[in-house]
Amino acid sequence: MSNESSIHLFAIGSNGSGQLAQAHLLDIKTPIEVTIPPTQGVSSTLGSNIVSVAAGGNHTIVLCRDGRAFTSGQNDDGRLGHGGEFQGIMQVVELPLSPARDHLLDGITHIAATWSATFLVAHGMVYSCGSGDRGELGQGPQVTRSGTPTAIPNFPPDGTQVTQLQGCMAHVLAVLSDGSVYGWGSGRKGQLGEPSIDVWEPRRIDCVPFCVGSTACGKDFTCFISASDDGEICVLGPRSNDRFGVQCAAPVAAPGWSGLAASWGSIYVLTSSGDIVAWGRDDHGQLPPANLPSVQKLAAGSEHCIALTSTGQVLVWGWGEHGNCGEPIDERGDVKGRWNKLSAPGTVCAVYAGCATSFFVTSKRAG
Amino acid sequence: MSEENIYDEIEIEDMTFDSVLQTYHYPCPCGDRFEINIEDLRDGEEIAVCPSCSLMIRVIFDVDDLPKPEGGATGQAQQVVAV
Repeated sequence: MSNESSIHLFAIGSNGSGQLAQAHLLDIKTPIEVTIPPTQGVSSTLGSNIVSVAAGGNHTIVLCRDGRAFTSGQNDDGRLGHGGEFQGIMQVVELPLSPARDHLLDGITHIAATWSATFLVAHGMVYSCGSGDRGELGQGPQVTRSGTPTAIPNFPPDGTQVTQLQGCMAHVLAVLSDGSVYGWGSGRKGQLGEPSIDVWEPRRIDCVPFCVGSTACGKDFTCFISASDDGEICVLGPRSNDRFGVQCAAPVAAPGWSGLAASWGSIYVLTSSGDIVAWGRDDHGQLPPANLPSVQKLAAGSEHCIALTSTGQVLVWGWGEHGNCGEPIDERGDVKGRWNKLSAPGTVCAVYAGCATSFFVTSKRAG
Repeated sequence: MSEENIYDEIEIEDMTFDSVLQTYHYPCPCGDRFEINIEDLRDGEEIAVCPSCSLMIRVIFDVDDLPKPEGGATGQAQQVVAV
């Protein structure tokens, strides 16, 4: 046992709806551990393996390697996927197929969030719950509310699996095993292709001129990067309001790419050499500050970034009014043209970000 | 009102109207929502504010296109609003 390590999730930032799973609803200014109550029948830390974290406007989803998902935050519309009435406690998602409530059989492989909905991929289907007035749930025309996780009908097509799932404020993107890309939700800005309308069930996006390697969703745009090392880039949206150059200032390609992320108004391509190619809005210092050290992992929240450097440091920059970028911040609440460092016990292995929230996962040698 | 504080310009078609509160709202990156009362829009106000942070948006709209105050839709929600 002595050489086993324990995994811990830490959070910082906006917590007004309990999205950081604490006993209070105050913003968190220094990183604090997110735990699961003993009543959930698991260890007090968030499982042994955290695969990913997704965040909506006021809720957080944590996916563990054993296929269970946990949620915390606002739940007036059922977006947490369980009947939990308490804000601020991580509780396990109740999939309709959880046999005998044995959540170890949930088999959830991917998670995503829009502003007020949760998306879970399990057993070949995509489940959604919560609310959305512009088709975000993907469950068909005019379905704006789903109190429990419900499978999106007839999706994905037979013979395919979802390999990537991304969400932002009001739209969702799914990449399938055959290379096709589907999207649904808010589409008035062209973020889901043509026609530019809200899309109430998954619609194939066929206007991307290359084989898609990864996607990232912003507030009203979608970025695609090619599967090849060339890193060809295609941006759909934001029509009629591209004043920050998300589309018109996009590079043709980002060769040697290793990761793609988007905030609500900026796009970030991480390269295998640890550089970040970024464009879009920078009014709150959202773009990477000069002289940033080499980065191995990067996550973009609504208007800020959190990066794990090659030497294991956690750096944050951008709009930090709710403490999500650590301290200090300037008079506008920004960490602009510079970065703050978040300190953590143990070795940091992953970073995630939401709406004025930042998360990182640490590995700590037991004993 | 400093231009610096305007987070974005949002068309009113992209906002959600709450018929009970008589407000238009739109997500704020902090997790709360930008809000503006329809009466304020009728008075020519165009800035919606977020109650939880310093950000604001400018609402793009035409006063003539706003729902009329009286005699418009007569849904149940309207009956709750005593005048």
